[in-house]
Amino acid sequence: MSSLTAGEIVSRIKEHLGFPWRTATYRDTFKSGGPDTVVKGIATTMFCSYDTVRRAAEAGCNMIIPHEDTYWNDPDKLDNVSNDPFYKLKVDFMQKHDIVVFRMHDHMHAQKPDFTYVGCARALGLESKNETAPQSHHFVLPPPHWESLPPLFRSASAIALCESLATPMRRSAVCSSA
Amino acid sequence: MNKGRTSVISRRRFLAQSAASMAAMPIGSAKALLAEPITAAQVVDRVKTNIGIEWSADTVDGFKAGDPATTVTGIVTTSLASLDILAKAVKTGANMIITSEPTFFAKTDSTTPPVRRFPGAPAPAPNTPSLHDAVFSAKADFIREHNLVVWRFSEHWRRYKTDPFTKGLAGALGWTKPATTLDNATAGRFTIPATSLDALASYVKKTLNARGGMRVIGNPALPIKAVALLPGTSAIQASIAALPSVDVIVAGEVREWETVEYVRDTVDLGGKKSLILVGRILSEGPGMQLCASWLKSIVPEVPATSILTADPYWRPNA
Repeated sequence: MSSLTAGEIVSRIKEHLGFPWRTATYRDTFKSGGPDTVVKGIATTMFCSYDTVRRAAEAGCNMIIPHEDTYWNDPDKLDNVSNDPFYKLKVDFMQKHDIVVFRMHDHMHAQKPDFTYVGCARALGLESKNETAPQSHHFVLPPPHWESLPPLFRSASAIALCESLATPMRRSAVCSSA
Repeated sequence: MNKGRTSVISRRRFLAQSAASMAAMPIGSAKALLAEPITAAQVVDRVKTNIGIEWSADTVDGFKAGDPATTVTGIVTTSLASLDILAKAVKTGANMIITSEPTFFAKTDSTTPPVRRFPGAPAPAPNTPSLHDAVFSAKADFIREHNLVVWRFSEHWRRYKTDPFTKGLAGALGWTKPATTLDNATAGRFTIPATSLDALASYVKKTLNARGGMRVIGNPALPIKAVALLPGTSAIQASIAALPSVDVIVAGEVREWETVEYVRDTVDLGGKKSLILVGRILSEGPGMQLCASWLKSIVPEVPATSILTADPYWRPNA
């Protein structure tokens, strides 16, 4: 088994980011565990919910890279939550399963283009060629899917298209909070 | 400019409607018309004198459009002065609108859009020309053409005696008997006749005329007896404080990465808890109805009524 640590993975992230790491960020830091944890597998997700952590652990992943906070407040401060029984249950589970959480928020938005826009567009079946200008985030819907259909069918077809495209993505990101 | 403003009522129609509404006015209101004229600024003075708390200098409450020296023909209170509400106010012959939330789509309440901010964006250069937006302008034009005055009344109204937004929402839902007294730590917590989350959600939806804006987290079969109300917007602290002592929180608006995720985790960790979100604007409607009742008592010169802002959302069936 690999002995790659969470710290080494974070170093690689910083090295390959394409722009300098913003050291002032309070968001993109370790929220559980630390750099010394040996990583068995990585799960990326939008929310580090308990359900996501559990599914990650079941899938053999112990490093979670969420976009949003873990303890229900943006700076992940503990003063409001540390006495909460469900906070304790969540933390107990993470400790028992040797979970390390490293948040990636500011640096995902700072990518050019912003990764959250790219991911959302791809999930909806929209490619760069549909974009009105590079990084405009405005798309012209490709024919014949939506424009040619009566309004009643637009939402249904949109959902079907979304599902067909999102399924393989969900498989690659095993632990996405669907 | 007039292109696309389909719902704007012409001045001629406004005058015709005003005459018609005056003719149809109940005797009490007609009597009110004979009372001393009162300006919007005087109405606000009356509010400040009677609210029972000190008026703070740093507040969102204040005039957002129109001339405070305007003589008031009638007051309409509402949770949000949408264009639809403004038009309805004009129809009833009222020209002063008292709103809980902004008129111009942002806290700044400026007739031009606020400067866009996104993570890492540099601050706008000084003297940056303001943006123009057709919707902002149409609303400002409508207010000007009909000589309306819009006054925001949110922070101070919330602090009037027992929070009128909680009291109003509880009243609208028929929960007039608080679990204990309506103050301090127990504010907004109620014991209601035993029901299920599913049944409660349907009841709340029907009672508040919610449409697509309602969202629910939790097991539909969850037994419900104790409820906490959090009208308007609320931070995670309020939910963490309330949830242990109740089965469900009925809230207006919460942040998706705060209370929504907190309740999701609580449920997934075995907590028998739930959350019903009705939308911020809908949740504040009954509180502004209480405001109209209160205004009647302190400003008897003009009629004061409340118009509920409708749930703007719908949902796909599939």
